Amino acid sequence: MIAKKLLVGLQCWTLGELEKVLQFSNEQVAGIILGDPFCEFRMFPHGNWDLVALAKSAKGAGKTVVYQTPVYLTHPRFENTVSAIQHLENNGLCDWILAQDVGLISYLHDAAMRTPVSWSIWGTDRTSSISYSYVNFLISLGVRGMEVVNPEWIEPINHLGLQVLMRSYAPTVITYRHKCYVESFFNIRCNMGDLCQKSKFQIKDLRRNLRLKVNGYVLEVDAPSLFIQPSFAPDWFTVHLSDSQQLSDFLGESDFS
Amino acid sequence: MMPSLEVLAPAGSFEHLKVAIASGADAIYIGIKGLSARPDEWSFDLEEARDAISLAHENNRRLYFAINASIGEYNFQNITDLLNQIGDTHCDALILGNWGVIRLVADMNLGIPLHASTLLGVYNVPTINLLAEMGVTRVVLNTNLMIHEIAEMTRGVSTMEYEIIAYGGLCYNDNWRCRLPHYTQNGVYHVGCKDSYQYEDEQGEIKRFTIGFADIDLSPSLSQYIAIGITSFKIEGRTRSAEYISRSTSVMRKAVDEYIAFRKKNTIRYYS
Repeated sequence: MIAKKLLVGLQCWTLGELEKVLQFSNEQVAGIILGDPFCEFRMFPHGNWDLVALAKSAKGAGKTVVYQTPVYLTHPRFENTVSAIQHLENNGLCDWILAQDVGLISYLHDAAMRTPVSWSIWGTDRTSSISYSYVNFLISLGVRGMEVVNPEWIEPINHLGLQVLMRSYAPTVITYRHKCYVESFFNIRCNMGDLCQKSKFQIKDLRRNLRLKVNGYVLEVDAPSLFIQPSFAPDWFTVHLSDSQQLSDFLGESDFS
Repeated sequence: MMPSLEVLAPAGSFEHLKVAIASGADAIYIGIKGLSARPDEWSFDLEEARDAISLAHENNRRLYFAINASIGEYNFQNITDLLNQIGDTHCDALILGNWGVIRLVADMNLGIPLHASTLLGVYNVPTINLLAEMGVTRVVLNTNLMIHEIAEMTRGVSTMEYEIIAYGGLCYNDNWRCRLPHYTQNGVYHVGCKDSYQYEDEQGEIKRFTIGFADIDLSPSLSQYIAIGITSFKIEGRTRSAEYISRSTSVMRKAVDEYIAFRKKNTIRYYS
């Protein structure tokens, strides 16, 4: 049996949800992923104010904490993200940074930040293509891990000295953008996540009869996710679920228990 | 001091190239077959690209190669082979859309100016600084940036050249990572966001829309972009018709010339 270390991301983290996740042993759930790639209010009821409390609670329970940085790191969000990383690091609240912005990882490398950085799946192109030159470029910027969707790259990336995070279960994202789709559709401005409640509708591509789920900044294929089981074990599996109930169902059906 | 402004037109064929030159483009960009983000029918092989450079240079225009396809280990050797041949083509710039390729080109020291494509996802000053260290001299700004976000970057690294897409189709999704279908049908290039979508609201009413946006034309508002440091105005549309390229290039040419004329007429003179 392949030894597995599971990192769990939920779409929405509250202290209540975290308490349920912390009930699972480290053999079942080794750690959690905090941080929304697009909108802090989509994930946290109080925005990034919740991030520190959740990280502290998870660390206290012996879990690995991974901070996922935002995708669109324009200014001043860039500075805010660096501040968050510095705070998490100074207080020992974060074990890995999951990033996809070259400017950010370059900055963290130059600043000699101690928390290891892993390159996120959001940093690869639509075909998830990887080359050795690309990986070596990331290594030159201090990256110590890489998240992949293609199991064929687990072993080669390991051989280059990086830890590998395998994105094994997550909604299939078709596209995303810098501005919230829900704001665009309703033509109103969101107030700290209040539109997320309306973000539960579907659109249909008439040409291809394809159903897409509108989820804030992201359009997802409206179909069940598939668990990718690689033959070569990565260092970590990452799964992205909607809530703790889906996590319980997932663990019951998989062999992480 | 008056910045050196550029109208940059697309060309998916020799006909397009001639039309772009005749319509007043300062520079033209073309794709290289197999290594461009557009299908091969709108790209040039290396011999055709050499001929394109000759034609452009005879008319005192610059020609840029777009090497911005999805690059993985499976086609990386193609890139390397191409780059080994490209050094003596005298092209005026390479537009690159992959960090691994930029690193490779930087190491090869080809002596050709490097432009960072929108596909790299440049959103902040540290990324631009890193590109500058790697020898990149121009950043093609992402199409989903707000003007204040652009200003933060151009102000932060004023030594870099900046280019925006000023006319044509604009990708408001993340054009590098969008998985909506892009395909050719009956000789016409389609993008998935412009297809028709349907949504049923709470009242059961069916609404139809696209998730893309109409084409843009920034020619009436060039001055505000020039004021924040943009010097190159790119026209989207290698896959479009020659008539479109003629029209769009003429519009941008007129707008840039009017701006230059206005600045010359209204330059503030200081007397001691």
